[in-house]
Amino acid sequence: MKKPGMLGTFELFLLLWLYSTSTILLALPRIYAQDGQSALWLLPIISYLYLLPFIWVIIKLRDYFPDKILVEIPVILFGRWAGYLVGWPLAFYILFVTAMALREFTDVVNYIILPETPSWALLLPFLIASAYGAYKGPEAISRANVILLPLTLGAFIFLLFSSFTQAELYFLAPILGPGLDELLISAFLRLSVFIEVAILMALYPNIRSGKALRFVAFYGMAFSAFFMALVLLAYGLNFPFANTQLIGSPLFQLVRNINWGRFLQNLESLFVFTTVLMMIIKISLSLYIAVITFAKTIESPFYQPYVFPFAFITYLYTFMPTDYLTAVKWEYEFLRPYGFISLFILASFLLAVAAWRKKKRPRKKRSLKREPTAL
Amino acid sequence: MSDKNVNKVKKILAIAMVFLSVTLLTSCWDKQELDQMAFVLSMGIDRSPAGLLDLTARIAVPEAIVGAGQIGGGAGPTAPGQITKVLTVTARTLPEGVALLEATVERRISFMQCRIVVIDEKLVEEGLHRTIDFFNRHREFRRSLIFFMAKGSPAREIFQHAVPVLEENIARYVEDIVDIQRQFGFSPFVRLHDLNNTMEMYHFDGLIPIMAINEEVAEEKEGEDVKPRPTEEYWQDDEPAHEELKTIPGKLHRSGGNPVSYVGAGVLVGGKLVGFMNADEVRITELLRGRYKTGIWSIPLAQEEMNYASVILDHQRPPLIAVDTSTEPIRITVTIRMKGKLMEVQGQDIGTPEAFRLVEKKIAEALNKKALDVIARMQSIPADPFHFIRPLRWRTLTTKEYVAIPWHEWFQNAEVVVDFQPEVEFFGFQVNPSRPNLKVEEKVLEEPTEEELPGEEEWE
Repeated sequence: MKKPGMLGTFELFLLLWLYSTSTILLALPRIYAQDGQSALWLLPIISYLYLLPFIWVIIKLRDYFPDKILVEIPVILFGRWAGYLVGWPLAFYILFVTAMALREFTDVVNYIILPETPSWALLLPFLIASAYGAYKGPEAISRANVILLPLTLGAFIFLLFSSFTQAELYFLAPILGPGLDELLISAFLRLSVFIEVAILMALYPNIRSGKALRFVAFYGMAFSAFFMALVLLAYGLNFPFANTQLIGSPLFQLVRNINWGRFLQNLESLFVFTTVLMMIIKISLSLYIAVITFAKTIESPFYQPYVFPFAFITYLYTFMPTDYLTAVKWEYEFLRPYGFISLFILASFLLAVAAWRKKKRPRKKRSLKREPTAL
Repeated sequence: MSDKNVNKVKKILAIAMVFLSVTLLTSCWDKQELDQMAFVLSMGIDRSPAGLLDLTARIAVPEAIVGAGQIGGGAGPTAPGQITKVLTVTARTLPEGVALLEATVERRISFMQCRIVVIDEKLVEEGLHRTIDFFNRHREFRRSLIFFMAKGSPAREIFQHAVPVLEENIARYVEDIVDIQRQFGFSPFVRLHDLNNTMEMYHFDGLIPIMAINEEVAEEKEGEDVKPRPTEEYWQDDEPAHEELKTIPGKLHRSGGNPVSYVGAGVLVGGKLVGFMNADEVRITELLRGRYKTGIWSIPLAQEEMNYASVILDHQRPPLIAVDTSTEPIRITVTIRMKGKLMEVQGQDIGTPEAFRLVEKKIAEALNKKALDVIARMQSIPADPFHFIRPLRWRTLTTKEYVAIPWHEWFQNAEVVVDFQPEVEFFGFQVNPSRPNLKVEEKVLEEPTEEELPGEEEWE
């Protein structure tokens, strides 16, 4: 039976797919190409294997706190001060990462579609739409995602398979790229590409059951990794490894290359349309997570009043990097790796403490849980 | 605030959003009025005598094109000089040239419709990497942009001499050239994407198609028209051709039509021009690369009698390339299977399966020889536009291993075996060529003599 505020398993599966896969739309294929060369498509698959312990931690943590989001757990375990210590930086970290993705996206659209329009004007309607999505909450975002699926996943798959018509199979050789050892190291260092899985910790109260979370976390991320590998495969089949590292907007260039004679070409408009839809959903969810994290940190009964102020802060953050390349550098060299390490350590630590306390006081298991705050 | 008031505020906000979106989403910043734009259809780039760049652009005159296409009107201009304008500016860089073009033309220049770029031979000799960066970066150029090299004359002259034989629509004319290129392979089909790939890929060399002015036809051009010269003059220009036709760019013996020829190719190593191929060699190269589609070939059956078999050879399956690196020098074996349709056989019965096999053998011998000749020439450079390294790519596991292969050295000394396997399956409506009946055959087939034939005197 449908419960208000709850996300269906399949809806959550698709939401996680969109949220984690949309990173591939921007600079990521070029970064993977630098690491993986002709074997770039193997990297997300290997990274997924490294990700499994983190997924396990996320699943286990919910078993102890099914109605709480990540920032509420330190409060229960250690007190209010711990909530502030974790919540404030986390909320603004999410905002900043969102702003970087937004900046990359805006710059790409700005250059390829609307070169004369100033970035601030381009961002404004986009952010208003995203803020509206965040205001409506995860249920509305997730429903919108499912409804728009033919235009996102469908169009994406269509474009992907269209690009295979221009493929040169031998571009995939040498099959191990820089070598198996370097692939394993690079995949580990790029583990933070999958930091998006952490959103599940902000959606614990919206997930129906532990079983649903297990399914979504393991299979949803596996699907995302597979999909990313498929996109990278298409990219690697269309450009030789010496060239894949040089292209600024990899997928856009890939789509521009699609040519089925006079019948089907100039498909970049479809790509841009798909990208805009996917990014609106992604930014909406990111904004929601930042806002709910903040609201829970300050024990506010509602998160809605903070949506538009946070959207405005994101808007300002977006202009902090001087250019596209700086935004990419900040995101992939600092924000994601350090954010991933911090989140992994934090979640593991909280899990260890929760498990230790449960072991210590097995009969007081229920005391760990509090009544969910009305939001 | 009561629920009623909240709903009211929501409604007002929603209406305000709708009005706001009307003002924000109009894309006024990026508005492009068609009648304020100058569409470049093709471009030429030359190295000027002063060492600068001459940028030539063919710009469409939309009003004239519309006039030319009027059904029933019949009076619209159709010549390239009337429906397009050719402009040249000299600059230090291509972007500077574009800026100067914009200052020259009263409209904003757009490259959205640009399909072809012709680059001067000198610039290709200097290396394409300097020239193509502009095209890689500019948002209005696609990687499907087609490149040619002007041989024997500046690219600018190509623009001045080009007179399409039939096509009135210049954009369509360009597409037609490309279609023919892809279909028959007398010159390679090379896009910006291909130039980038062959320039950057380790151990791969490329080709660039040639545009050249045929001097014989250029002399026939008067204004916008080409008037074929008298036969006597045409024969005077004919050098003894023997068994080999001249398929060298710009040297094809012909009269009438477009003074610009699109046959042959330049050979590129690392984006620099290192050699040339004639039209036949390009076809062989396309066969060896696996890009060949179809073509008509005339193969001598008996050299001394000048008897030829003409056959359409179609692509059947990708070439099988084997590289044996265990020997010194390395051994490259290429096997190519093709399907054939007989078009003509001169003076030889082929009505038995054995005779058919003989024709196939002759075709294979001729193609093998042509292939070995062109490969040997490329080995002497050394340049590998055939991409024979492909099997080694799969045999190396890492890019380091692959990059370390001394391919050009290996290729230069390689022993190459080419095995064309044509299968002639169709002989048309006739099994054997029509011949005079046996009773008169010997008499009719005698060599013609210089003596006058009976009655010829009266004609004179």
